[in-house]
Formats: sequence, C-alpha cells, structure tokens
Amino acid sequence: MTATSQEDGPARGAAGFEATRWSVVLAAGRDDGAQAAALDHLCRTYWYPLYAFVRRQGRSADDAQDLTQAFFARLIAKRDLAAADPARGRFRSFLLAAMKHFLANEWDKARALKRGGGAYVTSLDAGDAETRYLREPADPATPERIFERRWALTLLDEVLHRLRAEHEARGQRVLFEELKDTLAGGGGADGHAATAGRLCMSEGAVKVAAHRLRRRYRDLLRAEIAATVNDPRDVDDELRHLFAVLSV
Amino acid sequence: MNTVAFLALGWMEILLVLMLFGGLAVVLIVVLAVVLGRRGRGAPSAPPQSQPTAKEKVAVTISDPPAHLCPRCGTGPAADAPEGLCPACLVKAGMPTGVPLTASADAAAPAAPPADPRDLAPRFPQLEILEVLGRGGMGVVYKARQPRLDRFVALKILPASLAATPGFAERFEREARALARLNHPNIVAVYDFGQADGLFYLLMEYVDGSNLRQLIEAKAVAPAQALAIVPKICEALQFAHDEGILHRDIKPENILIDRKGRVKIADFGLAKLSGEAVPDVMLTHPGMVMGTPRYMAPEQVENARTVDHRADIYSLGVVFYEMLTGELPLGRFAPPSQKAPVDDRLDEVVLRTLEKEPDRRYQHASEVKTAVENLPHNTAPATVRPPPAAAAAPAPRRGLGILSLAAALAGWVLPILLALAGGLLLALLGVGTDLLVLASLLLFLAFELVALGCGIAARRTGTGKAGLIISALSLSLAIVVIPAVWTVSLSAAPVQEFHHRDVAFGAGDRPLANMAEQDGAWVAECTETQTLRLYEVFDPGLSGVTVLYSAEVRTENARGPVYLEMWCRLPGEGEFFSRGLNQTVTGTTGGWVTMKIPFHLKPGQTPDLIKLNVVAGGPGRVAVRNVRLSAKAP
Repeated sequence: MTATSQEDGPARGAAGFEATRWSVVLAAGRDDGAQAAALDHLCRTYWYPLYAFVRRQGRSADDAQDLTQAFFARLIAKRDLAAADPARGRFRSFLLAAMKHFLANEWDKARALKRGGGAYVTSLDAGDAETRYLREPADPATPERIFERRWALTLLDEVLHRLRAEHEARGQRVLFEELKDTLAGGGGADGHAATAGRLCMSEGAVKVAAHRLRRRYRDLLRAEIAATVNDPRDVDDELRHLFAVLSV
Repeated sequence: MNTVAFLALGWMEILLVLMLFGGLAVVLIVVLAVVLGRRGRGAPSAPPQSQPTAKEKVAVTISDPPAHLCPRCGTGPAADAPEGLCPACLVKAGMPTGVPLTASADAAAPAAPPADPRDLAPRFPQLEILEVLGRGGMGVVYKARQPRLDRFVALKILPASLAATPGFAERFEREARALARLNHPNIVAVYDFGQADGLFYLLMEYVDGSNLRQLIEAKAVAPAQALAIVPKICEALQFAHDEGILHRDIKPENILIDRKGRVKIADFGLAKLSGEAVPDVMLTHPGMVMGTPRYMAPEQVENARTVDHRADIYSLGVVFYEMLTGELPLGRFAPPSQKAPVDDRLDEVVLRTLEKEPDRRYQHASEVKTAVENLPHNTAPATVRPPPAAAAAPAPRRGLGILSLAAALAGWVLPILLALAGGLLLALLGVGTDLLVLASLLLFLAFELVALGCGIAARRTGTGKAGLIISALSLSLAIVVIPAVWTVSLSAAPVQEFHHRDVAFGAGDRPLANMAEQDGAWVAECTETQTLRLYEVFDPGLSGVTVLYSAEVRTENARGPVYLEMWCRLPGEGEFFSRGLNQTVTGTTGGWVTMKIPFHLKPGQTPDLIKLNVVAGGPGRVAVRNVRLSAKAP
C-alpha cells in the first residue's frame, strides 16, 4: 500500500474538482458520449431506491419493474433533462421529482408505447430488485423516506464495493476485512494489537494502514457524493443530509 | 381381501393429510410449549401478594436494553447495512475532521446527533467513554468508566441547542449544584458537572438496569410491582421537594430500576434548565419518547414557570395509572380497577393524584406513599387480585411446559401413531373390519379428551397460552378426522359386495376352446395364429372399477407372441378389448409366467359380458392355469 497512490483520489477537497458526473449530465448542449455515459452510470447505480419508492407507493412488483425501466429508458433515450432544474443541483432530488412527475403524467403514455412495441434501452436486474424489496422492513415509512434511506445505503454500498475492489486488486483482501470495522469508528487500541497479531504486522503498521483506509474511504465517499451534485461545494451539505436520513 | 385393501387405502389417504398437517402442528406446538415453558422458568415469578416483602423490594424482570443499536451513535440497525457497518457512522466518517454534522436546513434531523465517543475522549481524559446509552431531548447519555475509582458512570452531554440559550451557563451551574446535593437512595446521584470545550455535561451514577418505559412495554410490571415502585418514587420526590427541588419531568423513561430491583429517579430538575421552553423542547425533539407533554400537570402545560411540587405528584399519578393499566389517563378515562385486576380502593388514590386542580390532589408525595401502603396488604389476595398471568396457584411454571407437551402428545402424536398403526395393520395383516375402525375412532377420541384435560390443567397452573392453543388445535383435529374416517369407512363399504364377484377358474372349469387338461392346467397345441377362448362371465356386476384379468401361462416352442386378451361388452356402447401386448411370451418359458391385464370401467359403465381369451401369435404349445377375474378401485 503506497501512500502516494491514495493521495490521488478524485475528490481532494472542493477546489480540485473537475466537473462532477451530474454536472456533466446537466450541462446543456453537450450532446457527446460523456453525457450519456455519465447519466447511464448514475441510473445504473441508483435505480434501486427508485424501485423501492415505486413499490412502497403500492404498485405491484410487475408494475414497478415496468415503470422503473420505462422511466430510465425515457430519461436516457430522450435526455429531456430540461426539466431538471440546475438550481436544485442534486441528482437525488432530481430523480425523485422526475419520477413523481413521470408517475403523474407520463406513465400511461409510456405504457401505451410499450404495447406498441417500444423497446427498452436499459436492462435492469428487476428480479433482484424484488428480492431486495421483499427484505425491506415493513415499517410505515413513506415512499419518500424509503427512497432517501435506500439512496444513502446504495451510495455507501457503492463506495465500500469500490474500496474493497481496490484492496482486492492489490491482494489486500484480508487487510480490508480486518480493518473495515474501523471505517465506522469501530476497533480500539487493543483491537489494533489483536489485528496486528493476526496479520503478522506491527501495531504501528496496523494503525497506519487503518488511517490510510479511512482516508481513502473518505475520499471515495466524497467523490461518489460529488458525482451526484452539481456544485462540489454541496458535498458537505449532502453528507449532512445523508447522516440525518440514516440516523433517525 | 378387497375390502381390506380399500379400507387400508382410505386410511392411508387420511394419514397422508394428517402427517402433513399434524406433523407441522406438532413441531409448532412443541416449540411453542418449550419456549413458553422456558420463559416461565427464566423469569422470576411475581412475588405473591401475601408476602410483605413485596413492599420492601421490587421484583421485576430486568431485560437487557434494546439490542443492536450502534454502540457509537445509538442509531438503530439497518437492513442489509453495507459490509455490516453502521451506515450513519459511515457517512459521518466522510466529514472532514472538525466540521460539525449538524442538520442541514432540508433535513429532518434529530436535535443533536450524539458525538462519537472517540471524539469525546480528549475532552474527558479522566474517563473511558464506552458506549451510547441513550439520547433524548435532554441530550445524549454515555456509559463511561472512571478507571481510578473502578466504577461505571453515566455521562450526560446536554444538547448544544440548549446550551446556546441565553443565560444557560449560569442556570446550569446553579441547578447542577443543587442536584449534586440530592443524596438519596432513590435518586440517581450527580457526581460532577461542568463544561468541557463548550459541552455542558453531568457525571452521574450509572444504573445497570432498565427504565420503566421498557418494563411497561415488556408488560413486566404487575400491579403488585406498581404498588411497590410508587412508594419509592414518593420517597424520592418528597426528599427532593423538601430540598426545594422539583423534578418537572416525571415519566417512565426517567424512572430506572436496576438489576437488584432498586428504583432510581433520573434527570431531576433538568427540565428547568430549558427554562420556559419545556413544552417546546418536548414537542420539537423527536428523540423524546412521547413527543407531547402527556405526563405534565395541566397547570404545567399552561405555564411551566409557576408550577410547584404538586405538578410532580400529577405526573406521578399518570405514571401510576400507566403502570396499572398500560394506558395513559387521557380524556374521560376509566378508573384503574375497571382496566386492571386491582382493588377499587386503589382507584381513589390514583384518581386523587390526577386531579386537575392542584388543591384537590395529595399535597405531598409522602401522602401518596402512605395511602398506597395503607391499602390492606395483609389481605392481599382480596386487595390486589393477581392478574391471570401470575395466577393464584403457586405451582411452578415448569408445569406449563410438561402439561403442554402432554397435551401435544395426547392430542397429536398418539393419534397419528394410532392412525399409522391402524393403517399398517389393515394393509399388512388384512384384518380390517368396521369394528377396528370404530375402536380406533373411540381411542382417538379418548386421546383428544386427555389432551383437552392436559390443556385445561396447563391453563390452570401456568399462563395457559400453550395449553389452550394445543387443546383447541387437537380438538379441531378430532373434528376434522373423526367424521372423515367415518365417511371413508362408510364409502368403502359397497366395495365389500364386489368381493363376491371375484371369479377364479380352476382345473374343473373347462374352457370354451378345445383344450386338454394336463396337471391341473389346460393345454392347446396351436398350428397357426389362434385365439383361445377360455371363459365368459355374464353380468359380473362391475361398474366404475378397474377389472383385472390374470392367468399363469406356459409355452413351448411358441413361434409368435402369446398374450392375454379381455373383451368387455357394454350395453348400448359395443364391445371393447384389452390386450396385454406389453407382456407377451414366446418360445419355451420353462415355467409358469403370471400375466395380468386391466380394463378400466368409467363410472356408469356396467359390462354385461366379459370374455377372457389367450392369443397365440403363431404355432406352438400353450398351457394356462389359475385364471382369475377380479377388480379394484380405479
């Protein structure tokens, strides 16, 4: 593990940001591949929260699958993002607002199109979605709340997945497994000693590794959040929002 | 034999259903009985009312606090949490150090997200901060350890929003000093207080146990315990009132009961720290359990500043009422004796603490204590009727498990074994009669009655839930099975008549074809393809069954296939045949080969003639014996 490679994370503070993924999507008139790719990536990552939202509104699994796919198909194919108000600046807010609009106005049209042979552009793993949805707690959370919460968990999932993949690529799977608890603040001083024993490392080396892991995680988390907001300065605010959503 | 076979079939069908339905139920019931039995044994049973010790010590089940909360931030668990880590802490780790995680404007955030224990550690070097115990409108409480004194303490950090109110520091100093003077066995002691890096904190006695809210929700507070808890609260309140300190926020969350059953009141006077804002604080902080001032005296809701100690007495009354009935005294509420098995003399005490006019309440907490303790405890069974759960019988709860198991055994296991044994007996030994069915049913009924007895016994000695359920289920089993078996055994009866139609042809029955008798068999020397007509049965009296034609055949040098053939003549429909082309013999068999072919009659199809033939597909010698015509249910 080299410290320098980790310094090169994409999200080193607000100043060093390139255009975020969401701002690329929003940039009007840029009809190049970057826009489509950025949107496609965002949709693929964050479609499950929307699915859960639609399901929690009382639609059947079949309907919800159709609907979510049709929604994304339309979003990607038509790129009618003019409706996206850049002032809102967040993919999360936009997605939820657009879905509500779609449910209210567009769904019937979209369904007619489907009957007439309209093709799907996206291929989402709908069966998996329902399996996941059935595991959702049966609490009386509103569709909006379940969307927000699922969004936050999906984002964390994505970040941890990337962090894990990075470590596995370097052959550090065991190290990741041992130290991942420290990401959420777990693991104390004696914990490091025990870990050092298991990994045949010195305690100091474990502490350094844990510190690097946390820093890398923070960078990845902030980068992922940055990809969903228009203005990189919104990252802290979005973090606070996610924290509030998760800590209720 | 057919009767037996049919009876056995009927039994086996019922058995299959029973095994499916009953097997599941038995597993369910045994598990239920064991679980209930274990719970009954695990929990200390309620002290009987007649024991005066009930006044001295509060025996309640101390359950562990709700598990699975994140020990660092106190939030609940997340379904499929990423990598099994606490999501809230994960997000928090994304914040640059030093940037506060206060709520953004668009978020419905809790009032004061608790700081991470690790963040707190530098501010409290004298403490080992261990975990979050809880949080509410009045801040976050951590469990901590004082290493030098080797004791656990509770560290309460007051919410920053509160600390920001004008004049707070001064008020905090004054109140905390007064609280630290409150030294009473039923009041959570304040060891220290102060300010650390802008955080106002109180260091308090750590109470290892549960709060009354958890106990009420777990239904672990019997009236007897309520009557033991209330005097302790009264003592603490009276002591504090004498010191000129009001609690102002008596509610189940603030009444702690440690593992030895001692009652401790927490958060004395803290409500005053928030000054006039008491109702607002409670209304706007979702962390507070009730969210509304339901435990407040009416005059306290109207004007929090002018209340006196009688407001605490009203709040105590609300808690008292809730302990007894499980409900809050809202609107036009019923007296406790109508809601719970308590003496109606208690109503007067409870209702007087709940008077809307402070002047009409008890004027001192000590008066409530006296009133409660002067209820005639000595005649306890008459004073406080024990709830059904802590029934009068002093029998150990162990009886519940055993009786429930007995009920399950008699109601389910034995009848199923009986049915199995009966079915096997019928099928294997062929000794089935109506009498056997009747005897089995009577035995079955007897088992169910025993199960019912066990259920009732379990109901009387224990909490009775398992016994009752088992009795009900096994009775329903009896209701289903007995008529079903009876019906089947009746419907099987007509088959018996058919038994007499079973026709066997032996050596004395000369076949229609020209065949020679030899060693008890009939033999034909065929020179070409030939149908050997054996027997014809007129009006066999069969309908809706499968007719079976069997015979033993032996061939020598048969050039073509030899097989059985049966013709059924159905009046009005014509003649139909069945040939055993899947079981033929050729050449020389060397011994006897049994062949059997069926003919399926639909319901209503009644043949008036059945012809039994053997077909020789070529030249050769064919011998036949033991020709037999029988039938079986389709």
